[in-house]
Amino acid sequence: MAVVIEILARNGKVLEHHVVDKDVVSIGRGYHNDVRLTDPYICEQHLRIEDTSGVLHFEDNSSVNGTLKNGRVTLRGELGWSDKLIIGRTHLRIFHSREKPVSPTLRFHPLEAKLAWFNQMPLAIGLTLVVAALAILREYLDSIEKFSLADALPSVFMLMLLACLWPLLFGLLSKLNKKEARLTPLFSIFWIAVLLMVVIQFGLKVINFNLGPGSWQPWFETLLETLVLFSLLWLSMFISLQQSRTRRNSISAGLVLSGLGIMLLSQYGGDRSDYSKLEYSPLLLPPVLQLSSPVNTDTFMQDAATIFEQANAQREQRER
Amino acid sequence: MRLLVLGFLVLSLAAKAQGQAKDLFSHYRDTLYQIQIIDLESKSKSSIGSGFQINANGLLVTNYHVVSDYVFHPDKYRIEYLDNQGKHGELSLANFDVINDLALVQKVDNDAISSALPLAQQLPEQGSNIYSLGNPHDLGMIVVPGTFNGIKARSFYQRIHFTGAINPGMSGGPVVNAQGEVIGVNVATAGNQIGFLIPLDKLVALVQQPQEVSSAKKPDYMPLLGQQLSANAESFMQALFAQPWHTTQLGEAQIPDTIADFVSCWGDSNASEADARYLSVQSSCRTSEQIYLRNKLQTGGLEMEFEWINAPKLGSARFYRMYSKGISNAGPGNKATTEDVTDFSCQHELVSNTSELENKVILCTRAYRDFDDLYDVFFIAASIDHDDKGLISHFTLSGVSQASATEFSRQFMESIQWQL
Repeated sequence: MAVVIEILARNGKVLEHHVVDKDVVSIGRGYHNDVRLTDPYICEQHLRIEDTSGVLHFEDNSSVNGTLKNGRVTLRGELGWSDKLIIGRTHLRIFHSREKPVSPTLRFHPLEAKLAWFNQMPLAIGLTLVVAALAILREYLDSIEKFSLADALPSVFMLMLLACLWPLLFGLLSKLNKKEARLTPLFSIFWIAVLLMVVIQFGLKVINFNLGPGSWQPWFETLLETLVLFSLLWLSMFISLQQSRTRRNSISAGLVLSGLGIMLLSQYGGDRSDYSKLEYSPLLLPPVLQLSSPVNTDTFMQDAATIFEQANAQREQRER
Repeated sequence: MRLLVLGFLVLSLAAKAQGQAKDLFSHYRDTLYQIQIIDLESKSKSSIGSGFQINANGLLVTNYHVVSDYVFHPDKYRIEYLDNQGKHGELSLANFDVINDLALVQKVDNDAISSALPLAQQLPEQGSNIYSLGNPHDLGMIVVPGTFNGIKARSFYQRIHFTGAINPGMSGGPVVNAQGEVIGVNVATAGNQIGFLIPLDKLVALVQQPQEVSSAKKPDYMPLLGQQLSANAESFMQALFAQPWHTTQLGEAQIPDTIADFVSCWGDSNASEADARYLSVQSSCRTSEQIYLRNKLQTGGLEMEFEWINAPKLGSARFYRMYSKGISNAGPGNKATTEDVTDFSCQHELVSNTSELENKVILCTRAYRDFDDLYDVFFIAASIDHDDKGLISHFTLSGVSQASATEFSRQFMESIQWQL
């Protein structure tokens, strides 16, 4: 058991940590002190701390600039974890190590071991190439004129560069917290999320084309994409920032939900034009992706009775 | 000497025509009126047209479109006339024919001395001189001499083709023959000295109907308007189904084209573009007129469009991406606001017709808010049974019943097939 002296930054962050296992501890600018501070506004023998069976007292040795306890000039008194002392320009927290037990050790998250799999460089590079290939494929599909790879590459390259901002941002956050950047797993999970989005959108297109666009589809798509986005954000924070589980959960949920809210607002909030609205799904897919068998004309016309009912329902709604 | 005589004859004929116009105008200007629609809120005129008196009881003829604001909102507007002497007076709506764009309005305080224009017994001979009277651009009453060119060909809603300048504001003015008898009513212009008139028989039919001057405090003209639209839609559809549809070849497909004699078709293609990466051939058919109901609301028309695309250079995946874009921005042939119609509701399905042509079909409909069982239908489809070629087909049919819309859609879908 010992006396702990922490030197704090203005924002409360610990800059230096000293432990002295003595009953009387001296603090000052002189070289003989137990804890020596170089602050020029501190006296040679500025402060004396005494440990009386676990309770700490301090005494100011008639210093030039005095001592402040919790913002007030105080020359002697008791000290604890919750008190803040200022001598010269230096902020201190002094307490008995017994007074402040640390929180229990965190168990590894079950994901921790699995994350090692994402940490393989060949995987990250392979995924990067797959995504780049998909981006080139998209350029190709959208071209009606003769396709040339040289023309497509600059825009694909810019897109990939833009996409890299996400893993790089989390790597930077990690660095700022003086931790390892761990870019490899960040890249791996980011590309996997991108691929998942592509698969979801393609799957929904095939369903939309074969079964017709149900009103559930936009909601289902938003739900799936929100889940992917949440997982991506959660995992990125898990890899790059060491924070408590509740904090991580609430930050990722909050960010994703506010993004979703903004999206919905922009969709439903805007002014609509005076003209009657015509919205349909123009999606056409090649014969290989036609999975359902077509109906005949009579069946289609029978099914179409529902759109007249819908139009009538809209009409009555307004009349009421 | 002969030439001189001929020249003299021509000069004197021209002078005679001018003289007639002068006489007509001075003789009949007392029967001409400016019709004004007054906004009750601002107490000023919101639109104007021309009108003319046809009997001593003070019955005036004008166009339906001149008084359409009043028909839809009798509580917000009032109809007034302004006569030759600058005198104002109130008018009540006696009857109207929305299909032929005619309206009868009655002077509320008729002074028995006012004169009237007689109706002719029959249309003049083709090529005769006729005279259009009216008040263009609020500039005062004028007379425009022109030529009677018979009933316009290829139109479901009959119009007289008049060679002469009809300008905005002359709508509802009379067109008279050399004897000063009414043979038609000004209605529209196609620019460049081409004008259209409502023919005499439509006017006679309306005048002979019993006139119901609505005395109700809050008259509601919607039921009558609805009846006229439904009856017209019925005969319009009958005319469309009157004979088996004429079809024509477009690319590798057989498509309907001039399905009735009042539907006219045009074609186009990119075959002359040397660097085109695919072939596109188009056909588009439409009826030349629609019925004007009110500002931003027209109905009673049909348009059909087809596009054959053949793109062997693109390959299946790229072709279908372009093909999707090809059907993504279509709109209905008639615009209408949500005040008058609902939004469209759409049905999407993959459909194979009896000729085994497979289409993705999108059929959408919207209902008219003021009229029962009246809909606009929008149809767009794309064939999906070939890898790198296909046919886009589209129609808009406006102001028809659900039964007619269903029957037309069915026949349209069945009439398209691949060339054998």
